Amino acid sequence: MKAVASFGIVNADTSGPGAFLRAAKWYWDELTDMFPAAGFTSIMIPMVPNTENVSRNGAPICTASIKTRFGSPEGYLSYLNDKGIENVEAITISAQSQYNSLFETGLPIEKFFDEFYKHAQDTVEALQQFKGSVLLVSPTPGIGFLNETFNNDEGKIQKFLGEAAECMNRIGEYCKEGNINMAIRNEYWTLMRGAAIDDFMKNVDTNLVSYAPDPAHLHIAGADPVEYFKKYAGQAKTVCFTDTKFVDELDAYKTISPEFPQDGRVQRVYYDLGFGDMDFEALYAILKDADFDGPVILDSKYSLDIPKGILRMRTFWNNLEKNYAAKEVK
Amino acid sequence: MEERNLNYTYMTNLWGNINYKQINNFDEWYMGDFGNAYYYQDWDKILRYFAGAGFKGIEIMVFSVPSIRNAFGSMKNFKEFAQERGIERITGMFSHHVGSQDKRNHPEIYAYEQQAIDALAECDGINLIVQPAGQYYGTGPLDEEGLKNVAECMNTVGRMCAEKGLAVSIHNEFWCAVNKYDHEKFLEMTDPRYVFYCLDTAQVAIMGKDILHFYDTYHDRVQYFHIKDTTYINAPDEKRFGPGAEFDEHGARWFWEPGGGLLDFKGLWKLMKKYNHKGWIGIESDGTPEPLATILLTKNYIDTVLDPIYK
Repeated sequence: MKAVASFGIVNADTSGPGAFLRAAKWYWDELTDMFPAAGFTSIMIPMVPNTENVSRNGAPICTASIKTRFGSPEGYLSYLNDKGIENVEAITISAQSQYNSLFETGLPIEKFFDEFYKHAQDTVEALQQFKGSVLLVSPTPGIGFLNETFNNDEGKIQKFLGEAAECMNRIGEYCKEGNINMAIRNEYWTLMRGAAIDDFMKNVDTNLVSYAPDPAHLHIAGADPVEYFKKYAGQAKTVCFTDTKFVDELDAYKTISPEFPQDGRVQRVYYDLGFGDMDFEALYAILKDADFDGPVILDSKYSLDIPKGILRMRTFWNNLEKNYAAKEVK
Repeated sequence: MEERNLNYTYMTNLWGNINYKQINNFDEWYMGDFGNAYYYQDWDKILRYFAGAGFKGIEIMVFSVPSIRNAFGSMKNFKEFAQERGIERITGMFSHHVGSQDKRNHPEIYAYEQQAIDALAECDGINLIVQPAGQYYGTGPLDEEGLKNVAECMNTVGRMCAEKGLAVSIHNEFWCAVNKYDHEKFLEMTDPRYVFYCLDTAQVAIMGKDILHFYDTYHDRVQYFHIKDTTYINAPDEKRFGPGAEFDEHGARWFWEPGGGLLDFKGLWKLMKKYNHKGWIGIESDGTPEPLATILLTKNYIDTVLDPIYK
């Protein structure tokens, strides 16, 4: 297994001292150095669609900002190589970020999947230049957003879900042509949350599309991560490790603020790896038993202390490997 | 409220993007991490910081509208929430017209701006503050046709604002495609009935303009302000026209709280007094590494330096 550190550790859309500066290149220059310093030589980047506002960004947040700052994805890879990072193993794109861009682009929902497919194509081309292997895709926006968009019309939402499956197949085909693996993430607020992933995977071509289980998202949606890792380890091209203590007591997943629950005393969703409630030793053992040798995306999403979070990720992975080896010896 | 000619409103972008309405449980954000995240992630506390420092108005970014709606359900709810915390008015919203030099982009810009205008009207705002075109890099310099299209776009959005009882104002970034060599020309190409000017003191000074001369000349059009200081007066073209020039490659700070740089705010306030300017004065402090310190330093500068000249 290959540990891949996610740049999703940085919440680029948060508030606080210095939050504004997360869009500056100098911020990312220093931050990027920290990943190889903590022993990570491969990264995953979450990317958003190329809107004009983010394109001038100094953060590697979309292909346009990378082209603006580094000339091309190849130019960015050269920059990463100089810093000790060998490749961008994976990129994540999400239908939610595509949906979020509609406000700025003014595009109607009817053009959604055409635009999402173009976004995926653009990202795959970058991924090839990054010497990467996996495109991770979250196929639908949040349930709350879709309910709002379609006025709770279940028929329209199911039609949208069908279109999402078709779009995933198209993206999967494009990935296959480019020797990139395509994997789906099922975030807990989307239409294929938790156990709904089973039905969704029946509606896509599994020769083109794989599923990347993610314990935090499965757990929040009420599915057992151990069960799902066992079920899907054999077909996985990658898996995501994300930690949580969040219990969705007030059904935040249905709201238009699912990642930032607005009510109740439980509002924090993500924790640094090893600081939540997920049983990663069990999941690691399942992957070993299945002879999984692909990338494991370590995603301490939205860490509250990013330099510390990067070091914690390394400690987390070291402990997983060490503890597994110790059990093997026994 | 004390009877004043000038009231102060603070652009909220110095905080970044605020996702929560109100954080309810300190321990959740503290235990295990032992940092300060609890204090900086919700509108509840950030609004109270502004009000506590004596600011009665705020401005918001158009990019914040979706997350505000996500958190509050509506802009009206947001306005009421702010008022309960001592913010009397959400005075303005920043927006942009990226691509406006090409008429083919205008329909999308108008659709986008209609959403912004509706959101601002819903929270009883005053002024849509607009970057008239995209960044200079990749767009500028604009030819006559391009500049005319940018002006036409501003005029149309100005009329759209007027229909909702709002004003639109030009906010000319130092890195914008409309820049030093066509700045005044562009202003004069816009319709004074519908398009005003928001004088961002630092942006215009970095562009190479004398802010006192500019205000003296165009005080009829300058109805809104973004007050911020700079140490980079008249930055060279290559600094302003580069990719992503808003953020210096090496982290140099463009903008400071008033009094932290070289601009003549005393002179500007004397001119405001001369022209009997009345209204909300916006403060913008994008890029500060320490928002609370900047807010308090700004209030102290207003109290001790600017108010004695004109208030």
